[in-house]
Amino acid sequence: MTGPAHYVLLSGILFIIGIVVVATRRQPLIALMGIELMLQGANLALVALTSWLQDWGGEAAVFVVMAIAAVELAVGLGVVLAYGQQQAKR
Amino acid sequence: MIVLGLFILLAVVALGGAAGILICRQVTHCVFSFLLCCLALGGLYLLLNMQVLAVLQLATSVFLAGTLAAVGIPATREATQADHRPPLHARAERANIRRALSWPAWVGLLFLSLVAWVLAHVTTGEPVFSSPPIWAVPGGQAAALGQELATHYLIVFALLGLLLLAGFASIGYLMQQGKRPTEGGNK
Repeated sequence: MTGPAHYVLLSGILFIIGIVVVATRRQPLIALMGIELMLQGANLALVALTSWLQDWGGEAAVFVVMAIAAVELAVGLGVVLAYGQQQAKR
Repeated sequence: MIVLGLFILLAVVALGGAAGILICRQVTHCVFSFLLCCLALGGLYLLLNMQVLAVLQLATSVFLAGTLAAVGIPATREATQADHRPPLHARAERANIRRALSWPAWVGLLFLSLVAWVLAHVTTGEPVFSSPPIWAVPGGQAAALGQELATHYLIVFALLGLLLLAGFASIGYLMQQGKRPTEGGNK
């Protein structure tokens, strides 16, 4: 049987891989993906604990984190695009 | 037993996707790995009996990967290859794309066939799992989430709306900044 510990362990590994991606890769797009990976890891732990504790507040928190991740990626891509346009002009 | 097997499969796919982001050199490969990881996480949410969040996860992962692929990759190409190379011949370009899509396409096909197998079971009414029936959406889960958001988390929900608005406004501002001519640039 799988318990919340399995999911939390998996989320920890995902979070660490995200940190390594942000720390080691220089391309801004891949760094953004690393940040997304960290958020996904945190979300997985939240979902596992929400399911285990049957507390709907955790589900609302996951919803909020998903929206923040989407905004973060959109703004990050805006920065990358603006930087690309500036580089193309020079 | 099936749940444990599915958990292991989805965990391996998620970790493989995450490792792919770390290992792959091409941005296209990284985007595919990211998509794979997000889809596997959606499957894990489904295993945890969180259908609403699983649907949200699948939708947002497709949105995120699509945005990264459609907007980000051409932008980074413009920035990094600012470009003195001769344009690639169309056939060479196609060969490059085919090479880039080779292994992610196979992994994606495998994952999609798994999803199709589960969907086939759902539509024919055959039980995939004895208990609990994880694919059946329990009534009231979405309602409970909505109730939480509209009562305990109302201020957070409103602030989230403001954040989304600020995000869109900042994207517009950044785009305008990017279009503005630079000092000492092309005249």
